[in-house]
Amino acid sequence: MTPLSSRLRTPPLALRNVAHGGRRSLAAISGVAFSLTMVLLQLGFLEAVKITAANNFEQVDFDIVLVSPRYEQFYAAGFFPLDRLTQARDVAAVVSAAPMYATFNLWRCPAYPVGQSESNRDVEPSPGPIERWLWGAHLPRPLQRRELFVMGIDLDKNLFHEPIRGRIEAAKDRLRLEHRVLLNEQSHPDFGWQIRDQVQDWELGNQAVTLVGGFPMLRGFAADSTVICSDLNFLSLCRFPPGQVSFGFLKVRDGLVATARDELKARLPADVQPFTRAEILARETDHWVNQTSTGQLFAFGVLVAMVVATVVVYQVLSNDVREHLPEYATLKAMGYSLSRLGRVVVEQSLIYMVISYVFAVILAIVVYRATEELAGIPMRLTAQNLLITLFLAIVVGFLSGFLSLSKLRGAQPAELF
Amino acid sequence: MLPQSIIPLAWRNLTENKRRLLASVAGTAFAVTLMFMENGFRHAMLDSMVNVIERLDGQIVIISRTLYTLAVPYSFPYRRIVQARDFPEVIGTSPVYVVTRSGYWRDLRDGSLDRICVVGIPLEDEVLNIDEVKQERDALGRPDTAMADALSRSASFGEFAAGQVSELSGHTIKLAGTFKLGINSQSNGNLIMSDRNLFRVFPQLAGKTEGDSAVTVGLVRVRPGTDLIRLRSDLQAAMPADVRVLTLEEFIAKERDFWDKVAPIGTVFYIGVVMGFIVGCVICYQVLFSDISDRIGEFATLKAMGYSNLRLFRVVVMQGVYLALLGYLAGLAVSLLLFRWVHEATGLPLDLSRNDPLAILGLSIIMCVLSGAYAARKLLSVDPAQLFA
Repeated sequence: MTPLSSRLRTPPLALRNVAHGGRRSLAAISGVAFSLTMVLLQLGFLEAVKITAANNFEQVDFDIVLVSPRYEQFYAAGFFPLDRLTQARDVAAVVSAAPMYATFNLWRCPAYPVGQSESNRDVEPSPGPIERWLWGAHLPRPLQRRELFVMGIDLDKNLFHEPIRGRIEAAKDRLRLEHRVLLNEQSHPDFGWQIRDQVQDWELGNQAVTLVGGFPMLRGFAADSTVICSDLNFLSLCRFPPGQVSFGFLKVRDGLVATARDELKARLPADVQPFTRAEILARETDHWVNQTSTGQLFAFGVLVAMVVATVVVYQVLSNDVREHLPEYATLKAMGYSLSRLGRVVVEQSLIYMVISYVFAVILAIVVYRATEELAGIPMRLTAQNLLITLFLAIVVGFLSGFLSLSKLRGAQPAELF
Repeated sequence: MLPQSIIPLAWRNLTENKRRLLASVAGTAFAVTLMFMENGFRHAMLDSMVNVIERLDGQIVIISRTLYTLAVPYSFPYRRIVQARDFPEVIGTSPVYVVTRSGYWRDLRDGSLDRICVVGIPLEDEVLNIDEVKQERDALGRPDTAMADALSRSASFGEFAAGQVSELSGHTIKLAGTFKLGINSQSNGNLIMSDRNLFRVFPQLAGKTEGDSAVTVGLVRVRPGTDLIRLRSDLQAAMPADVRVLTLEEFIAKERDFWDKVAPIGTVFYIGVVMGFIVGCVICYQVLFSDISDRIGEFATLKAMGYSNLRLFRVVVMQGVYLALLGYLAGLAVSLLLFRWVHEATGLPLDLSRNDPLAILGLSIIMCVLSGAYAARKLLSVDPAQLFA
């Protein structure tokens, strides 16, 4: 360890190299920063897939879920006999069991301006994402019927977490009436939540319904909107096999989750399978990330962005060393050892990386917001992704610094002239 | 003062130092790759969504007015396509039945059920342009047979082979053979059956009478030389409002449009292309800027010799164009390898020739010229005296 006094006497060359670089440093930093932003963006896309996969189950308060053996993912859950819920209640550890019915159904998406009749034009205009974003809910559009995801619940066994729980409780009495529904406030704008005050004639599955409120729920890659209604309304609005149910959400006594799951598995027939909360979340994420082409494409995106970032960083740093070669040669002539010069180079590349990283994070926040607005998918900068990118930045910085050292080895003081 | 005299200078500037050239081209090439990849993913996603529609052997289609994507198949009664036969230009019509939600195939390896997309066609007509299906027509005609897509996800269904016997939504089905179609983000596998076999598995589609059967796409074949747009409009006028009549091209465009613009996934890849472009601009700027800085003495000399600012500017911009061309070629090569790799891993159709290679070339050149022009600002202030600074 060099004593502090001598360290202070040595000028912080690396820092000064960066500070004196001016526009040159700025160009290097922006190159690295944009590459890192690209990595963050691709990680964000993949994260969005994971978030939307886990989100549905995260909104529900349960310890164990019963699903059909045909269960694929939340939006293609299949069904199993409702009696299994009654049987599940016989298991000692089970405190409560609440059913949920779920299926896709057609929603009458109102035209804008409201009141315009069904379009008879052969070819409709097709606005791009920017136009859609600018117009928002006021994009002129014909009446259309689009699919959304309908969830029917037993109103006396409200199985959601706040804030959805509260919205259901508040509208509970009205939801008991015939054909009353709640619509997702975060629906795709085409579904009409934003212009709800101007629309009277809502339809679900070709039957008239009345909107009695909304609830906030993320929309993902599978459904553009969601509706919640009572189980009775669900069965009258949607075609669903009688006596069957999509999910059974169970609460069990503290600490007995694994035992209860095993007992359910043993007691219930093979037409239903129990999963703990952790199991179903892992399964759901695995499905969306590894088994759909959406997840796979984004995973490839992350990989390619990382390779590109590595190449760019190396290119930027080796350029920088080459440019300062005469200065390094001078220092070498003055008696600086190779390892000391090497430290300067590596330090400098790390400074570049850290500054670029900070810029990249700021840029990423902007790009994330833009993606969220334009594509309507949840983009979150998670600590994990920030750390992955930082780690990548530092490792690549180190490597590029070391690789550039070979140039220094050949630096001849005579080159100065 | 002719451009020819400038070209060698820009070219030599770029290629003087081979290692440096390599680094510069690599940087640009990766930006090009990034744009290719994002755009390629977008196209792959869109192409895969229309894989069935593109194989339809007809010129005009009739679909339910409710249908906005084939992944959510809404049907209309068979009698609508019978009405189309009244038109003299129409040679023949055939119904196509698509089941995306209720078809479950039992995986022979572990007995698990997985959702599969089932397409039902009448065997009397040429409906699908898939050679394997045309050859196995007799086998498909036997009761309880189907053909399976060899490109289906093997993790869900195992490897399909002729002669395999398994279960589709509770009915025993024997595979008469395989074909190659490909999967998409909405389905992990495809089956093709005769309409009669399909009705045995999904009786709800058959309807009370033939006229009620639930058709997803009505395919219309017309005489060669017919004005498709006019016939389409005439057919539409003759039909009730519950159906929409489109030419096959319009139908393909409509389906792609939904996934490209309305569903979030298309927008996400657009943003990827834009980001790739920005990264490319920054890389090119960095390359050209450091090159100018290095040669500032030489540029000052040229200026002292009487070169105008415009001429020096042109040298740098030409250098950017060369960089773009070299980077594009290298990026193209990398993308070809990458596309093959992703195709093998995901089964999605990644085809470079359908992936706007010229548009990407245009973007690459714009990228390098823009950043070259921006970097060349430094030349305006260059002073011959700097040579001796």
